[in-house]
Amino acid sequence: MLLALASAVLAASVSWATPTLAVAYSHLPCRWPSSSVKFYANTSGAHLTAFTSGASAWTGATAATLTRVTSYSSAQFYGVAAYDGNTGYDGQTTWTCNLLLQFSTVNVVLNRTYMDSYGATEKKVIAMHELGHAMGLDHSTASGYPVMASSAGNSYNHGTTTLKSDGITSTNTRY
Amino acid sequence: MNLNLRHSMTVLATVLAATVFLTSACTGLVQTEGSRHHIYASLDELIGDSDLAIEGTAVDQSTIEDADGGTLTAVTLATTIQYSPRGLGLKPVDTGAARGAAPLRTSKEVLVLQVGAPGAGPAPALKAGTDYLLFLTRSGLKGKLTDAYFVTGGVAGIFEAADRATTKGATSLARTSNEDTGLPETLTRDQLDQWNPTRPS
Repeated sequence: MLLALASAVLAASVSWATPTLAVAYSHLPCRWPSSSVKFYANTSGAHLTAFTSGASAWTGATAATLTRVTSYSSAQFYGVAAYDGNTGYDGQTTWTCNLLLQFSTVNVVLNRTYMDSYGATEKKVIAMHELGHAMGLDHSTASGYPVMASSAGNSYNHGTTTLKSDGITSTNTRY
Repeated sequence: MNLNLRHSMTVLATVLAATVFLTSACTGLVQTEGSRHHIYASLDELIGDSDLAIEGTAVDQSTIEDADGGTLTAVTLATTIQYSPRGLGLKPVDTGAARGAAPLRTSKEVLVLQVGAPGAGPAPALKAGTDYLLFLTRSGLKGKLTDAYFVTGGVAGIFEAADRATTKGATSLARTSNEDTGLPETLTRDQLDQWNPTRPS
């Protein structure tokens, strides 16, 4: 039993540590134990709308269900919109893992220093990107400017407003 | 002890040790990823978005908390040369900065901020003891970090010294970012000498 558990964790570790050359997407080392994940967004107005519409995009297109809840205590992770300064990043997601490579904590921040000037659709695309990290997805090197490229804003500037096949496949192979 | 049992225990111990080794890279460690605000297509664009272009040595590294509880890595750069390339700061990302403002005068030590914990952020961490050319943007933060800077473009503004061959500094500095492919892979001393180098006082 112990050997099986150790082998499973080892296999998961190796799959994270070894780049898969055949696909352009990649995963963070951690994931949630189930495909249904709840988050609390401590913001309002346009940024709350971005979180909500971003979550709906993942839920509508993938096997994962990402639900915004209004009770802090029932959430598995948290989102906020804050003035983080000229960091060079529209948003950031910070996480920790446990020994089973499941998320222990996840916090998503939308950087209002940049995002206050964005329209609703661009805000949604940035939120989608950060929520993708919060679900365990890493950046994608796929062509066609996917949401999970290193700059979702750059993808938006090239016409991306919805999830593309790499993001969907990446999520569906994760959950 | 039965040889088969001993073999099984050896295998188990090896698997567990490998597991601990591999998972230690992520467990318990606070890691951060993010979405780049901008991918730079040219050096002119990077220069235009920067308030400072300086060369120096990273001398120490610490962790600080930002206003909303996020983690930042703070690195002090002992500045040896300040550059004033044409167009510096003409299109600052920091909307609070004056467009086309005169080049900032910098001190010998500049506090540089990076998103995330040391070595666990979206950009490569600046390493103490390493020489860099950095393109920096005023932090846009309030309070004690007002005078600090972020690297322009998170990773785009980091050029690492390829060597320390001369007393003038490295003969060339290499681009760190593999995303901003429109930026030159290296900047040579001859190129940098065209940017009106001065010594900070």
